[in-house]
Amino acid sequence: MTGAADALIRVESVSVAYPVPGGKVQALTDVSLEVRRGEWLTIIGHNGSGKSTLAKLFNGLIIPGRGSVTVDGLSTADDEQRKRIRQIVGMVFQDPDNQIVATIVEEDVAFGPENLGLPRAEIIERVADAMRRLEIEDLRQRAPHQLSGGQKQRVAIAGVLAMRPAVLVLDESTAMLDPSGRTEVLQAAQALHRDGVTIVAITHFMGEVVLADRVVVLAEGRVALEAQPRDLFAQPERLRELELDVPQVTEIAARLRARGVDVGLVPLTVAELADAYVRLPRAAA
Amino acid sequence: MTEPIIEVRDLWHWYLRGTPLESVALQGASFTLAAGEVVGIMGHTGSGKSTLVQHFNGLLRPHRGSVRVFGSDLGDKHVDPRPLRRRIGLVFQFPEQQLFDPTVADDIAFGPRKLGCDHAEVRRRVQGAMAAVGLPFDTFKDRYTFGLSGGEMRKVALAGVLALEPEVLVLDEPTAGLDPRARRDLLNVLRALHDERGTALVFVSHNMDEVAELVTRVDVLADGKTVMSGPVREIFREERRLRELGLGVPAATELAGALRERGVALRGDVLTIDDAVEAMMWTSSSSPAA
Repeated sequence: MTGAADALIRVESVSVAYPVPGGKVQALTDVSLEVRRGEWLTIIGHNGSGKSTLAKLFNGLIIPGRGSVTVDGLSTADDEQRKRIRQIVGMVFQDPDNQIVATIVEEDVAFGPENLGLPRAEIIERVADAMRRLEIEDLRQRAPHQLSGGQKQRVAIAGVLAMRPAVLVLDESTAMLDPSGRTEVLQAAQALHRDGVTIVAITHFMGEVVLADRVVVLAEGRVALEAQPRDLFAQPERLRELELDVPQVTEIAARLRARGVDVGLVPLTVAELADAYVRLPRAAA
Repeated sequence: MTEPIIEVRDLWHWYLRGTPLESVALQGASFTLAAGEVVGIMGHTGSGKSTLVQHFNGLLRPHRGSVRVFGSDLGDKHVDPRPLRRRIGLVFQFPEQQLFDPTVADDIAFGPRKLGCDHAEVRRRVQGAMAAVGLPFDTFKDRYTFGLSGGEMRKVALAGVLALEPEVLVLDEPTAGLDPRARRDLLNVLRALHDERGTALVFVSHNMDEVAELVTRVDVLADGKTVMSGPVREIFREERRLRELGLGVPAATELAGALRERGVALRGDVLTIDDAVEAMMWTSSSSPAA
C-alpha cells in the first residue's frame, strides 16, 4: 500500500486560531499532513510553532476552525465518534504528575479500560499486558509518588496502551525526565513501535529525532519541511533558520568536515560517527 | 579564601513530617558557593535538587544540619530570610507559569516596586533586566505576556528575578521545554550575566550537555545526599558512576569514549563539541603519518 491508502490520521487544510486579549493568535495555518500506519513520525519546531496544537487535533481535543481531521476515516468534528477516536489515538503529555489519577499503579493503568465498560476479565488481561510491555509489573502495588520520573511516564503510557490504541502520541513526554528516565521511555516506545504501534513524537531533543522514520518541521504554524532524519540533518543552516539544531554528533562531523576531515556521511548516532572516524585512513592510532 | 556566600552542611529535610505520609527529601546534602562562581547541581528526578535550592533563600528551613547564606544562619528561626531574597534570585521550573501581570514591563516591574523603588529606579531596573535577557524594551514592554512564545515567556520570568539585581542567580531546570534556539539564547544570557556582571550562578539541570558547557564545578545529588562534588571535567570522567545514578555524560564525552574503545588515542577530557572537534583534529593529523 502507498500514499492515501495507509494514512491513519489525515489532516487536511487545517487552520486554528486562539483568542487572546485584544485579538487572536494564529496557531496553525493551512496545515495538511498524514500519519501513516506503522510509522514513527516526529514533529519538531520552535516554541510556539504549533506542535502541541497539532497534537491535540489528532484525537479531537481541539476541533479545527477550518479544514478537517480524520482518524481511520472518522471525523474528529463528529461528537458521536470522539470516544472511538480517543481509543484509537492515545496521548501522553509532558508532566507525568498531571496524568496519573489513581493512588496505586495497577489501578491507574486500569482506569481507561474500566471507563470503556469492558468485562472484568478483559480489563485484567489488558492491564497485565500493558504492564508487561512497559516492564512495570514489579511496580503494580506502588503509589505513583514513590516512582521516578521515567517510571511514572511508563505508567502513563501503560494506561494509554491498555486502551489498545493504534497510535501513541508522545507530546514532549521526555522533556522533564533525567537521562535514564528518557532512555527508559524511548526504549519502551521503540518496543511498542516494533510491535506495530504507530508513534507520533513531539520533541525538542534533536538526539531523539533520529529514531523517526519521517520528520515534519513546523514553523509559524505551517509545515516548513518534511524529510527523513538524515536528509533533515544534512541541512544545518536551514534548521537554524527554523530555530532548531542538529544533534551534537552531526554538528561535530560538520565541523570536522569544514576543517578538512570528512567522515563521509551525516552521522546520527555516536556509534556511526565513531565507526566512520576510525575508517579514515589517517585516524588509526 | 573568602567566606562562601552559601554554605550548606549535612542538610536534612522531610516533607509532611510527623504524618503517616512523611518522606525524607534530603538526608545529608552539602553545598558551597563562592562569590562569582558557576556551579551545577545534577541528580535524578526526586534526588532532592529542588528541595536543596529552596533552602538558599529561606523558602525552606533546615530540619537538621546547617545553612548559612551571606553570613546568616537560616537554621535560626529568628533570622528573617526576606532580605536575602533580593540577593539570591531563585528561578523555579517553568517560571512562565507564574507570570501574572498582563504586560511584559508590568510583570518585570513587580519585584522592584515591592522593594519600594521609585518610578525612575523601577524603569531603570526593568530596562536593564530586559536588556540582559535580550528582550528589546520598546518592542516588548507593552506586549501581552499571553501572546509570547515559550522562550520569550521564560525570558520575561527570568527578567522579573533579575530586576531584583541579585548577586546570586539560582536556576532550576531553566531550559526544560525550550526549543534549541531558545536554549542556546538562554545559556548565552546566563554566561553574559556571569562574565559581565559577576553574578554567581547555580544551575540545576539534568541536561549533561548544558552542564558541561556552562559550569566549572558540579555537585551530584542522589536520594537526598550529595554523592559527588568536584570540577566538571573530573565528574564527567566517572561515566559508569553517573549512569548508576540515573545520569549520563555529554554527547561529546560519549563519543570520545566510543572512539577510545575503538583504539583511537584522544588527548585530554572531552566535554563539549569544541573539545571533541579539537581532539579529533589533533589525532587525525598526528597519527601514523606524523
